[in-house]
Amino acid sequence: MLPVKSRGQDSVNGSGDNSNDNPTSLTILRETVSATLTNASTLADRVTQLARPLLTPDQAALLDLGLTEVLTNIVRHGYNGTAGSIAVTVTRTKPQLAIEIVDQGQRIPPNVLAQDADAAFRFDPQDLDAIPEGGMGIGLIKKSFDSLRYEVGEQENTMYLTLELPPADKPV
Amino acid sequence: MSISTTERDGLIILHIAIERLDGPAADGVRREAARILSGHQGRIVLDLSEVRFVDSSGLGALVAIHKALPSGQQLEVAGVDRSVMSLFKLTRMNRVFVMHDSLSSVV
Repeated sequence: MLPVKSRGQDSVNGSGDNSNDNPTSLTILRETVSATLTNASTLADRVTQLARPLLTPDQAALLDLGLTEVLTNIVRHGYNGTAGSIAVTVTRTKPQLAIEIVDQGQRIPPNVLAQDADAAFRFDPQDLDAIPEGGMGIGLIKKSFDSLRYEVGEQENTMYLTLELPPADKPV
Repeated sequence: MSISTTERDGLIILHIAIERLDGPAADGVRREAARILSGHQGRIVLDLSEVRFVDSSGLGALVAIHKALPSGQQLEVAGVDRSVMSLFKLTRMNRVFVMHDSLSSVV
C-alpha cells in the first residue's frame, strides 16, 4: 500500500522535495482555478495531456484518474459547496513527475487518509448493498501515484504526489 | 442529451455520448438513465464506446443505475476501452457488471 505522510509523521515513499529549487527540474504547469467540478475535470485532463509524452500509457491513465480524484475531493469535501481555489504545480524532475496541490478547504480527515487503498473494493459483488457508490476516491488516489505526502498548515493543505518516470522518459 | 437509446427485442442500449464520465457529468447520466429505464423490464446495456475516462463519480453513477434495476437483473456494459477497463479491474467492478468487449458481442 502506498505510504502516506502528513505533517508530524515522517514515513513516506518518494522525496516530495521542492523541485523548483532543483536546477534540473522543469515546471510543466502552474495554475490556480476556482474549485468547481468542471475545473477539476478540465485541469486533470490538461495536466495529463501535458505529461503524456513523459509517461507510459498506463501511467497517463492513472495520473488522470488520481488527479481527478484529488481535485474532485477538494471541491466536494474540502470546500463542500463553498467558493475556494485550488493551485496545482506540476514539475518534472529527472526521475519523477512531481505534483503539488494546494487548497484552503477542510483537511482530509486523518482516518480517511489512513484507509487501506483496497478497503473500498473488498465487497461481495452479489451483495447489492455492499457495492460502493462512493468512498472510492482515497483508495484510487493511493493506487494512482508512487508517493503521497499531505501537509496541513494553518492556512492551507498541500498534497505532494509523485510518479516515477519510465527509463529515458520513453513511454512503453 | 448525453444519452441516446436503441431498442430491439426487449433489449435497450443506452449510448453514453460523453468523453469524460466524472464529477460534472455523473449525476446527470445517473438521473437521465433512471428516467429512461423507468418501467423497462428487459436487458439493459450501457454502451461506453465514446467514453474515454471514468472516475469514481462515474463509477458510482453506474453502480447506482445497477442498484435501481429490478431484483436479479444485471447491468451490462459494452465498448469499454483499455484505460476504462483498468479502472473496472482496479476497483473490482468488472465483477459487478456483465462486461462485453463491444456492442457487436452483445447477443
